[in-house]
Amino acid sequence: MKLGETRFPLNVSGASGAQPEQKAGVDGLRVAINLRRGSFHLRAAFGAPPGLTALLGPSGAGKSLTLQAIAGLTPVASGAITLNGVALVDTKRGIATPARLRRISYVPQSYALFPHLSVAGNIAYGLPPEQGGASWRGWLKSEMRERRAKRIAELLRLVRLPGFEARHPSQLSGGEAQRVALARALAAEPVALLLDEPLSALDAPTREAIRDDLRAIIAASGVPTVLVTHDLAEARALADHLVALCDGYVVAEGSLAEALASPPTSSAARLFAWENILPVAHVERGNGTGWHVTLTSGQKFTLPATPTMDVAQGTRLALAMRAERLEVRAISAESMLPMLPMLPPLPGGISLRGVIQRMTDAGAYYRLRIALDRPQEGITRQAEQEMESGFVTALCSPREWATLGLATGARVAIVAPADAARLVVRDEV
Amino acid sequence: MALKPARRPPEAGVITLGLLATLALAYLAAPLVNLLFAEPWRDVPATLSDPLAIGALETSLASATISTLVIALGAIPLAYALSRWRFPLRWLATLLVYIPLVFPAVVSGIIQLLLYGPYGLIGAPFAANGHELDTTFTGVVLAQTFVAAPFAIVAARAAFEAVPTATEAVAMTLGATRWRVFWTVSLPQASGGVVAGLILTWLRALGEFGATAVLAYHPYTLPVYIYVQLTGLGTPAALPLALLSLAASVVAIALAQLVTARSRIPGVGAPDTAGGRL
Repeated sequence: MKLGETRFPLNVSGASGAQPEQKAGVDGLRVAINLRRGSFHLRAAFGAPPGLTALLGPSGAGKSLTLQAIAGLTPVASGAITLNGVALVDTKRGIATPARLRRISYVPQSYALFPHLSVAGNIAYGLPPEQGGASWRGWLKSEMRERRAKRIAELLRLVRLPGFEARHPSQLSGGEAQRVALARALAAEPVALLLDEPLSALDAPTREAIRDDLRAIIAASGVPTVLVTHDLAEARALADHLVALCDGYVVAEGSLAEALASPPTSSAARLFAWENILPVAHVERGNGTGWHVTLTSGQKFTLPATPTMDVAQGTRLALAMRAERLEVRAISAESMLPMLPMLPPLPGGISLRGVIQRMTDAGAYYRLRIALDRPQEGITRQAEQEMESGFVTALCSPREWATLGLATGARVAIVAPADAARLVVRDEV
Repeated sequence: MALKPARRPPEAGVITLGLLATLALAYLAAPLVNLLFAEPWRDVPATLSDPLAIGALETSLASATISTLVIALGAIPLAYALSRWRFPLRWLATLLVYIPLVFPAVVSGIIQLLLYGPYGLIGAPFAANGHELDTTFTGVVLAQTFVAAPFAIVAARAAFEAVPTATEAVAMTLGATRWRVFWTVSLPQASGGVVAGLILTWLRALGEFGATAVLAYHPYTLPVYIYVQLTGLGTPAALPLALLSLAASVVAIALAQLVTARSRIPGVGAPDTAGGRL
């Protein structure tokens, strides 16, 4: 079956998992690993270019496990990990560099500061020998001691905790502990930095404050960083590059804006807060005009014909739409008589019809729950049971709402601009 | 308006628990308190001038200390291995550790005598060269080591299990070898529990009677000498020695309390690791 408009990467169509082609260029981290932990199977393949890459996924997606595999803390069953062109792991060639030789610093979710050492002692632990770390000479020679103290002070300034040398981990707040852990990680002069949910242990106000700091510190250090998070807002605020992980698979990958704008699968769309995911009943080729898509609710729309790829026969599809980008228009009673929409959809856009079922005041915006019309009742009952198929959520500002002058029970057209609606592969049960 | 805390009588359950706890404490304290009033005190100076008693005390202190050092050398790595590594027959190793605890000490002595005695697999070659392992100071150390080792292993294992593996993982990513991680991250964090376990071990070795009496009746340790005096001359002769033994134990217990109280390192980082009090 040929499809237009959407650019699916071929690798998401089957159950074989994501295995993107190794791109040219040696900068950054490239991961293609396969490992099992109990009943969980991780099959992740992605690249992390220099800069900050967010590994985004719901809990249980395998994010932390991926990070541990990169750090060398958990063995990989098969696959390869290369950092700036150097193979750290390659099961085919029998390469498995131990964690201590990878020069990849790892900051776990709990920060794992050494509670028996002072802040200075914690940071000194990571220092290379020539800076007085990890050697008896470093503690004996006064010249080494001075060099070490200087470097520790430098790192503490970088994380904005000057003068904290003598404190103990028990005397630090969550935010301070996090920055000390960051300083310790950077002390080792790592080639890459891994952060596991760096902000999740902090309370909300601290998190906001630390987020910008974190970004600035990482940018100043210039170390390529992979950060694990389940929070889309956190990924948005921090990352340049995004890798979305669901259930052990990479479901989307790319620059932040690009990835968020083009989820290839329904799980990725959900992860990227595309609130509306409507199952597609079938798709057929129109006579030159494009692709005719029928939702399980029975509503139809046409996508312009720009055939770019194949989707395997039988692949289940869904229409994903961003709630915050939908436009709601009133339909007057008489315009309903001919089933043609009075207002044509935006070029390349999608227009659906329904009835406002509920309006929730969320403060800055109103959340509308719209029950879709059902021109043909009960097309795919099973699909409907699997997903909430008959409803669309749209957000509108209080001013828009006032202009529309609508109320619950009103008939509306929902218009989605081309970049706020996509066909995605349904990869969820 | 401030609310006054309601003054309520304690719950019946609390009273019951408190009563039972008090009874248990009284049960443990009664013989000791009784001893203090049993007027063996006037015999203490005489006991201290008894060369056999002093010799027994010296033997006990020296052998318990050496046993504890020997145990530390093996128990700490064994406890670490049991807490961190997955290896075949690990369950059996765990079981073995508890065997000296559940065996009657006399039985521990007998099975050791079979091995280290003049006709034993290990004892025979030594005996042939004139170095008997039984009925020597070495025999005392062997007996005490066997019986007291579980205390060190169990305590150290619990201490290592309480060390967050994340700290060890971080240390490795910072370039530390496993050897360095053990000495600089794992052991320092476990040190409180390990030391407390070793003090208990020392106490157990000091008080060891059953296995020692079987494997090495001579040279007398303090418990064996107390038994000898008791069976030969009766309670009056044994009581001053009992006081001596008691004094050594009390000092060691106080020391153990001090060490464990000092070593409590508060949790770091994640707020969910913070413990609460009821």
